[in-house]
Amino acid sequence: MADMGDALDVLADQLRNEYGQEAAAAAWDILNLGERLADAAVWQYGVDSVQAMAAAQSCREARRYLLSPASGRPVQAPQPSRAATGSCARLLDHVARVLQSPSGVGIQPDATARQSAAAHATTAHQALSAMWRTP
Amino acid sequence: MSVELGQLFDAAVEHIRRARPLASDDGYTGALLASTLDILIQLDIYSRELNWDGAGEEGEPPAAMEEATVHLRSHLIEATNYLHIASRLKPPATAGATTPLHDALAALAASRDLLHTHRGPDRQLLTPYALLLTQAGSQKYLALRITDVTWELGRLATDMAERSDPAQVEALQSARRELDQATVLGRAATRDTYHETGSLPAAPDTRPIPFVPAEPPAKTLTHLENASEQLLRIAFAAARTPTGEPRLTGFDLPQLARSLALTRLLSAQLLQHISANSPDTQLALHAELQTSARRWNTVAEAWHHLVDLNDPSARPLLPRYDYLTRQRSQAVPPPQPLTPHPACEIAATQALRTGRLLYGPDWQPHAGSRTHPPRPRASLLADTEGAGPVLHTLYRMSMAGRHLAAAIPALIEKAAHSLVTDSIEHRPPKLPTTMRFYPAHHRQIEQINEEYRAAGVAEGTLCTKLLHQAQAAGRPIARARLDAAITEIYPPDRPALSAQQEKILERIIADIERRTEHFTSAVQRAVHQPQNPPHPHNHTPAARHPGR
Repeated sequence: MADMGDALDVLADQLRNEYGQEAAAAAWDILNLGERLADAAVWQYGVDSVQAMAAAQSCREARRYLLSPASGRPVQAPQPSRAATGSCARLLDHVARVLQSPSGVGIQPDATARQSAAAHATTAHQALSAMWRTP
Repeated sequence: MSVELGQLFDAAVEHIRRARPLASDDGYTGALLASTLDILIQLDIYSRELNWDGAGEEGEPPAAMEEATVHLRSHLIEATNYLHIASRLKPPATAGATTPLHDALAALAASRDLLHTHRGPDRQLLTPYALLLTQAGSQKYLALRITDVTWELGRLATDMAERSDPAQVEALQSARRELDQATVLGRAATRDTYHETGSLPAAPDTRPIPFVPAEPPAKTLTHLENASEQLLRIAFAAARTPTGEPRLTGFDLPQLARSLALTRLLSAQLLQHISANSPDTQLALHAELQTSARRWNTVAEAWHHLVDLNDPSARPLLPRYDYLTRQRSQAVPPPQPLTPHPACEIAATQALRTGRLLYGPDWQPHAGSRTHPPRPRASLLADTEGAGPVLHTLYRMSMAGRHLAAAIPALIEKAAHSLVTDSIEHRPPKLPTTMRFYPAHHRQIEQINEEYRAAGVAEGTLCTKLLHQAQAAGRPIARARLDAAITEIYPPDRPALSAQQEKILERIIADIERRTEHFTSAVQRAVHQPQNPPHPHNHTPAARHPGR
């Protein structure tokens, strides 16, 4: 789990990067990770399957409007757990906020595409952070 | 429920029957004669379009009708002639009087329009049903229904003959005789009829039907069925999409699969809710719907590490243009992301509709299934008129899923060269570490196609279970016979040509091209030889190689 936390921290750092390239790659990777994590959790006990599927779908929808990275490696998806999905959901929220901020231009220069990506990232954040049933 | 072919013929016959009381009124005779002639013309067009007289254009499917139907047409023409005589003797006294025959004519025209929707402007096949219409059984069905109309027209002519002047009586009686003969001959030729052709609906367009907030549940079911029809059409067209038209990309396919998974999952919840009183139905179907949902979600998961290069968003982000380049207007804007394929939106709306049917009109998928209490069972069942229509809708959705699962693997095989992956599993060891993506491994393609096949099998089982349940509930699904007939002609689990057949075909085409080339050059040599100066003997190949 420690590796997972590190990987997410690295992604969060990259997202803060002012130079578009790295931040764009991080946004793409976070959305990819969100989709895989949600998919892995769909049939887990205690998870609302509908919400998990909706989260995965929104992550992919958002990724449609972003440009794919040329380098780097995919982040390994952790075991689906409340903590893992929680931190991933926070990152998704972060992506949405960066896309809406002025530095979002560095990630996706086209305004319409940027807004669509931000909207889907927000939806993904909502679904992913609420999909576990309260104990 | 959308209108079906058989219903339109039923309506036409019914309207002609309603016109018969008017035949005793002398004032209507003229108008009735004029309308009857219009209907006969319509029937004549019908028979000509079906190529019954054997004079089919080149490339058209061969006329499948037997000799007797050729006589049917000639009798129709004779009847038209006699009625022309009768109408000349009695021109319409009440101009523009509307009779029920107008409605009959409209119903017949609508039935022709319905058949036309299954073909494109160039007569290309748009749905698998267009294939069915080229079969003898379906054409016989149409002949049979046309004889239903001619029989009713004959009765109408008899009624009109009762109160006409003698000259007209003769013409009307002759027309009646011809119509009856047409009926007898037509019916004689209509053994082995595909009666299921009657449940053929019009082919839908592929525009998604948006959800309106105040949509009543019965309407929702109709829209869900129409959306299934749209997906079926898209599945049929998927492998045949010409270049330039939007095709399903590697981005659309996983979204489509996940929407289907979501729809099945919500359907399971819907069924669980409405059939709480009948645990048998619930047990049998709930498990199948869940399995189908799992299969489709697995399909979507198989796409995790794949990117389609045909999608503009698959291009990497490049450094910004410098000031000078922009100043010289040499900067090219980055490619715009493609809008999703209509199929994605149709499938997503289908999932949304299914959810809203259960959880109310303001439900959203990301809100999950806990925040909204489901609609009260009693009122939901009252609105949908029982569980039967719901089972019908679920069947249609599942059938569309089955066709999609069958059609997509061929599409993926075609587009496999443009798929790249960043999966660590298949990464070639010598690939530079800076490169993230590399061409997709054939195992990945095989695996995806395997998942689609598994989803197709799950949908097939689900369809069968739904049919059994609907039968048990006393609401058999008539449409299933039509689907079964198509499955026979166009099996969803078998491509039109196997890979081996395609290879053979390619070889034959290459061979033909080579021969044509040889032939053309030989002809050119033969034609141009007189103009050319004769070759000196020592330059001809034969002279150089005397032994050959």
